[in-house]
Amino acid sequence: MGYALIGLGCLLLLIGIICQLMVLVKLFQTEGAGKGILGLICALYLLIWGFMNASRLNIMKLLIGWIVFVILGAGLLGAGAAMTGMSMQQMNMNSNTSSLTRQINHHLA
Amino acid sequence: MFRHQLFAPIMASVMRKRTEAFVITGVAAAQGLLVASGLPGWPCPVRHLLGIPCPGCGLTRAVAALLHGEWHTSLALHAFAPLFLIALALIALAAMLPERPRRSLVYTIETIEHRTGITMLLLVCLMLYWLIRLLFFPETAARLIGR
Repeated sequence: MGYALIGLGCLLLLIGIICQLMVLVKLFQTEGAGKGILGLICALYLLIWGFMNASRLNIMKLLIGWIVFVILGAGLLGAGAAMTGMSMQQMNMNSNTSSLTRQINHHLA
Repeated sequence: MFRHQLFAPIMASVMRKRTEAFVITGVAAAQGLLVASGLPGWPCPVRHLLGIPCPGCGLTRAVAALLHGEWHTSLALHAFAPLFLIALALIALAAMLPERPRRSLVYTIETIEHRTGITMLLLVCLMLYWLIRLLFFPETAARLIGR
C-alpha cells in the first residue's frame, strides 16, 4: 500500500513538474531570460507571475493543475514514505520480538 | 542582443507593479512563517521527485536562520540568503511606499540594473553556485533534501 502511494505520488509530481515547465517556458517567452531564470530559481515567483498573467496568456487551467498535482503528489509521497517506514519498523520489531522469544526459550531450556 | 538581455532590468520590472510586489511580499511572508514554525511550505517537486535540491532549495530556511541571527547556519544552507533578503526587502518597500518615493526607488534600481546588469549576473552566479554545490558538495545537497 505504501509503495503504491509513493508510485502514485511520483506520477502526480511528474505531471506537476511538466505543468511547471510549461509555465516556465511561457515566462521565458514573455519576459525574457532574466525573469525566466528568476522563475527557475523561485517557483513561488513563477506561480505568482502565472496568476498575474493567467487571463492574458490563457494558462489558468495549467496553473490550477500545477498546484493540485504538486500538493497531492507531495502529500501522497509523504504518506507513502511514512507508511513504508512504519511497516519496516513493525517488521524490525517483529524480528526483535522473535529473537527475544528465542533467547528466553534458550535460557529456560 | 546579448547585452540587451544582460542589462535588462529584472528587479525594477517586478517592483514597478505594486500589486505584483504586494503579492510576492505576502506569499514570501506566509512561506517564511510556515517554514519557521515547522510546518510544510510550498513543496519543491524537483526535490521530492528527483531527490536533488533545486537552485532555490534551502533559501527559506536560510533566510529564517538569518532573521534569527544565525549567520553560519544561514550561509551553510544557502550563500545567497542575504541577497535574497535584500531583494525581498526592496520588493516589500515597493509594495508599501507611497507613490512618489516608490517611483524614485524603482527608477534608482532600474538605473543601477541598466548600468551594471547586476541582477542578471547574480542570477547566473546563483545557477553556478547550485551546480557547484550539486557536483562537488553532495553532503550539503543531501542535508538540504533532509537525508
